[in-house]
Amino acid sequence: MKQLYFDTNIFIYFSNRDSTYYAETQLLLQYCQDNDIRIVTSCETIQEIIHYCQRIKQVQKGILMSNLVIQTVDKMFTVNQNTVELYLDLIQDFPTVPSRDILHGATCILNGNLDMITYDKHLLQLGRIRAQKPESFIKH
Amino acid sequence: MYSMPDTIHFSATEARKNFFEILRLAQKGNIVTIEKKNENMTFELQQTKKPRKDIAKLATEMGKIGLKVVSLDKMQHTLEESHTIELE
Repeated sequence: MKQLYFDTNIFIYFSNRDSTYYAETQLLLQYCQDNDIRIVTSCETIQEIIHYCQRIKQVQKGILMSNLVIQTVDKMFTVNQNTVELYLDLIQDFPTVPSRDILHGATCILNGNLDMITYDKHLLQLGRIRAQKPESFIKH
Repeated sequence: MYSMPDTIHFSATEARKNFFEILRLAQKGNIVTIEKKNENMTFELQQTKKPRKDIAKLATEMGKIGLKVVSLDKMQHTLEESHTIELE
């Protein structure tokens, strides 16, 4: 059973029907459902959704969103000692890549080199991680 | 090993030697029991399927939340700052 790791920005774009990427992310969800692809993410994603919602002053909506994310994903990976050790190794190799990206990347590598879906430009350029935008994943 | 229509029994020793066969049988819908006679215990293994999530419904619910969405660059900046320790 294929698993696909969703980055935080994908979930945020689900949450507003007027957003630029709403249609594309909905298409991705439909594609996952039709092809029996399991959606996974990390507990870090929830932390980031809440952080984002605190910044835009919509914490209640963030909590609602996080609960729906928990229901949507088949698995939510935790950040454990192995994740942190790999994260530190990766930071050595990519010292200028934002910390959050490396943590998501380490989670993907550690859990079977998962494909990641994101709009994050750093992750899309990071060779060690198999990151793609929704559109290119669906096309492949 | 003996079998009934949909229940297949293994001793603990047989189970140890046929682990993947047991998984295959359970996956095909059989009930597999493993009997550990010296402790008078029977373990039963059967496939259970998780109910499929209604992703479309969940997606609709998410779309209704209406979080304020900013540009990609701004969102990236906001998410990255959660890991930034500002030094004085």
